[in-house]
Amino acid sequence: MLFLFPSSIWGQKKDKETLKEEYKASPLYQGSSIGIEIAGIGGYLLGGDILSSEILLQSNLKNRFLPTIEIGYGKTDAVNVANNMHYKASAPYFRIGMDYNAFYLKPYLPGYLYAGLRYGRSSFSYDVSGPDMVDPNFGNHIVLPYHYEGERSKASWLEAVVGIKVKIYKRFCMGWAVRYKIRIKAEEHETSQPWYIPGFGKNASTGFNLSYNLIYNLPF
Amino acid sequence: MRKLAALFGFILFLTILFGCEVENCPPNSMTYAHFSLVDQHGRAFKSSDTISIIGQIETDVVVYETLPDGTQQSHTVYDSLVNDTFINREVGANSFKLPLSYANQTRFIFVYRGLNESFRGEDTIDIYHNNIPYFTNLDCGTMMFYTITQTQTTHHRLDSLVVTNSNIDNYDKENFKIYYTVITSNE
Repeated sequence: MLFLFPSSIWGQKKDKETLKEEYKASPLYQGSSIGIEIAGIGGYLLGGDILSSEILLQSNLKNRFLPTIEIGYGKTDAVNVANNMHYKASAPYFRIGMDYNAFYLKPYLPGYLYAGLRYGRSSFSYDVSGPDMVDPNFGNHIVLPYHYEGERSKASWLEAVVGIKVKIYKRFCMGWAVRYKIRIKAEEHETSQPWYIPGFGKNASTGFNLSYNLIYNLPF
Repeated sequence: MRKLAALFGFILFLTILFGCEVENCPPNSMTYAHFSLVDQHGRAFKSSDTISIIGQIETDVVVYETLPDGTQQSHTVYDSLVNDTFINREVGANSFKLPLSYANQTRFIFVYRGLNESFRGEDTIDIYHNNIPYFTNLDCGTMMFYTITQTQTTHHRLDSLVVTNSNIDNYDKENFKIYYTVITSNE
């Protein structure tokens, strides 16, 4: 990480008071950016069961507060070959939140480290099926199918985000972040609970995720 | 700056560490109905009788018959009685865990024998239930849960059967209380 910020390219350092004055004098709105998350696509191409990607829109207020909207799409069509269980789901999701630029007084740097919060939500349906269920206790005589389609569910969650964003070429930037996710709610059905929640990942009370973004700073 | 970079590195390390997939399948993938034996005051007691418990269901059974030419032919015997012994002459029991069937009704026949064969008797408990196949995650497969809808019992040895929790799942909890009249030496 330190290689991304070699001191020789930081530019000339200004004293703290000057930086504070410049910060106070800076405009509220300092531009917007658009980006795409590609780590989810990469994981899928490398053989993962889950494909997830999102577009992010972010505004820069005083180079300090960065309100963010993320709109994405997640899907899975997974089979466990060990027990022949099959789960399929695909749906859009969105997150809304804000990042806080820890280096807001140092706009001369080629990048910054930030922390943020997100509220995420997805409404989706899933199919789940498996081998016939055979009554194990009474002679294996009763066999019931297990196949459910179109089970609807809604889920919401919170995310704590820590990441970096650095310029790579002109208006192009890249950023990567780690996200700690806390599930708020995931609707269950009488016969199943969702295994994968688009935008959240595998259904659990908490989860970690690594994201990698390619970002373009818009000229307005 | 370096502190923040170190913090970010630490969080990244945690992500990689906890990002390793661990599916937590429930330790109990089988579901059992839990019966507690209680006296007329609702207190747990240990039976002095030996108790055997036979499960019984009525279902259609496919049987295979070998014909004189060596080929096999299947036919269905409708409404067959299928029995299985789950508890065999247990002494001093104060509770039982018994599996329900995938039919809508499961019968348990409690066979009591007093010490020195001084007594022999039976009670029949019929449990009517809805069966709920349940999926938790891709690695753990399916389980069968139940909701009790109705019960019927004979009253040769037992006084009554009370449903204390009608939902039977893979959590360890009491579902039924079976009341007996217990006579102790100082009563």
